[in-house]
Amino acid sequence: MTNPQIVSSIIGCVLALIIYWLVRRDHLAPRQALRWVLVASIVLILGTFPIIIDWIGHAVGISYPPIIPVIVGLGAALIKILLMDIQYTKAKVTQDRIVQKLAMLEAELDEIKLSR
Amino acid sequence: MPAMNEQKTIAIVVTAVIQCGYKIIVVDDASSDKTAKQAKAAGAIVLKNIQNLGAWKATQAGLRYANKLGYKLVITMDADGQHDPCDIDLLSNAYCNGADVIIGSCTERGSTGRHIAWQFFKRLNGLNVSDITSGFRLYNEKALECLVSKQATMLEYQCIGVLLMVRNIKLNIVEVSVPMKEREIGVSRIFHSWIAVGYYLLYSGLLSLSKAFPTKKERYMNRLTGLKNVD
Repeated sequence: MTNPQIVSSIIGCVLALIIYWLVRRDHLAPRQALRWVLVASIVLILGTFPIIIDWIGHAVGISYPPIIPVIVGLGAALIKILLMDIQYTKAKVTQDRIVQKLAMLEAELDEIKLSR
Repeated sequence: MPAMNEQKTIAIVVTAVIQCGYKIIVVDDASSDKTAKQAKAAGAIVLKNIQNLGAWKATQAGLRYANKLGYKLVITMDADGQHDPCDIDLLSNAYCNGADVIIGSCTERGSTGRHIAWQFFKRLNGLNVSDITSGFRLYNEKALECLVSKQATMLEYQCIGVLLMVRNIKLNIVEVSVPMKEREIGVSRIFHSWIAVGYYLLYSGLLSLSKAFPTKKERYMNRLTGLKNVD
């Protein structure tokens, strides 16, 4: 095993450990953690066996295979950030509507109290 | 009527509206002063937001409550005394002549820069309204139905977004000229700094462009009032 291989496998392992710890300490819900487990496994596998990237590069005709994980990673990050913004919009609308609803219910309660 | 830190004017406005024979809902948008108390003492129904939502979403809280109480006609106005409650009759008279949304407009106010911006947005979104920022409006039942939707909660300002929404479900918007007083106390919340103005311009520009082409009315209406929006 070459030095870069060792470093990237260590990164993969550390990532997996951090995710394990986050789930254990209730900082991350298992649903979200599953995706990160997938990411950690990919880092670990590709870090330990970089030859896989060379095979893929050869198969699809990319002359500089190490760029593949970079492009795929950036693309995935971009999509994820966009999805997060959509989720944020939804969450914000829900939160604002709850604030409105709370104000409405409070006023309704006051009216009922007054009429009794 | 949305209100935030308007304790100096709120009681006067509320009393005047009640004297004209209307019911009034004041939405206190997380004020740090006695706005809510003053409004309540003056005889208004008061909704208190626990978090500041901004003028439009505060207005929407009021619209939702009016809709829940079963009101068919709702008039929105500013709490700072810019609009004269006696002019409500002007709007309701115009409503009798047939329209779904009436805007009490005052094109004399505002700086030259603001007028240029209004004209620009008018060209961009094809909205035939000269005073887009006026908060003095009358909405009927049909308009109310779409303005209480979740999609309307996504908007930040009541000007362009709300009007485009109403336009896109093919409702009739009519403008009536009303006199408006200059704001005496406090500053405009939307235009408090140049950065805020810049943000407003970019926001409205994008909104105008993205909603410029009217969609199919029925489909849009279904999206607005679909089952998912029942809460």
